[in-house]
Amino acid sequence: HHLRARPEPSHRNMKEEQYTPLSSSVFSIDEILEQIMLELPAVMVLTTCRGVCRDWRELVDSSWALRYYSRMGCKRLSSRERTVGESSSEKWYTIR
Amino acid sequence: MGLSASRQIETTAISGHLAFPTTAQLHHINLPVFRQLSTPTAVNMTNMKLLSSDNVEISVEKDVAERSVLIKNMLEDVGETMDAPIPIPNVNEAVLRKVIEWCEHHRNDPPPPADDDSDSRKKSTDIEEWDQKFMQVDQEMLFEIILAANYLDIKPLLDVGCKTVANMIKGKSPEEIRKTFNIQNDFTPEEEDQIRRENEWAEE
Repeated sequence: HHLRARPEPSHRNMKEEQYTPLSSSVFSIDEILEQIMLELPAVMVLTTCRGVCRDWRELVDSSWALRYYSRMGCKRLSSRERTVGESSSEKWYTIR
Repeated sequence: MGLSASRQIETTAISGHLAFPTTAQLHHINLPVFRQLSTPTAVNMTNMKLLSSDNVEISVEKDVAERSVLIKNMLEDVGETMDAPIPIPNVNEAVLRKVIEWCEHHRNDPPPPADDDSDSRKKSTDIEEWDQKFMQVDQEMLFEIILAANYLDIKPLLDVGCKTVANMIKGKSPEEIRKTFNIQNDFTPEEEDQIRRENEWAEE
């Protein structure tokens, strides 16, 4: 009795344009999509992620955290690591 | 009996050497019996109930439920005693049970540092082994967990979820990402061209 049948999609809902996947609910929350992208290499955020769809491109272009991240080529670092990070920031794109 | 036995031991030691009591002597000494203590009774094991969006009551220990900042704040607002189940209108039973399973495993985790910024975050490859297994669910459930963690305000669980999704994105092309997550390509051909030109710097 723990099994609950998922509502059977009606034929109308089968049409592709009306099907909204759960992923879109997650990706529509900017904070979550931003957090996901902060786990990715900077180059991938700036190229691949920007090229997925308009929403993603808009987020990459507008997010302060992502811009900081892509400039530095690394996530915010602790003060001890920061000196190392800054000195190598100019060639981060060649390393990755 | 016990007294005379200890006297016997003293006598044995008189010679000045360190002398251990013989087994025979030990049998005469009444050693206190240490009983195996039963599992210590926890202080904060109060149970409470949550009500899922599909109206199923789930009993959960209070300190487990309080991994959720939302529930913790709710309980603080209402006061300690709470007999009625707390409704969690956005989370169905299957997902709520899964989230509780995570909270139970992580019930003793130290609280995150107060000045929480990305400094303390680990790399996505560093998902704890138990969490990796926990996240081996279908995509639908993965996103349900992320939404529930976001709603219930369980930051470390949200972190694990985001890292899992990031690992699914890594190494994929935009088209592969769209396919994986069912995302519509809403760029015009002109915009796609523009993005391609903007990306040339990154290509070898």
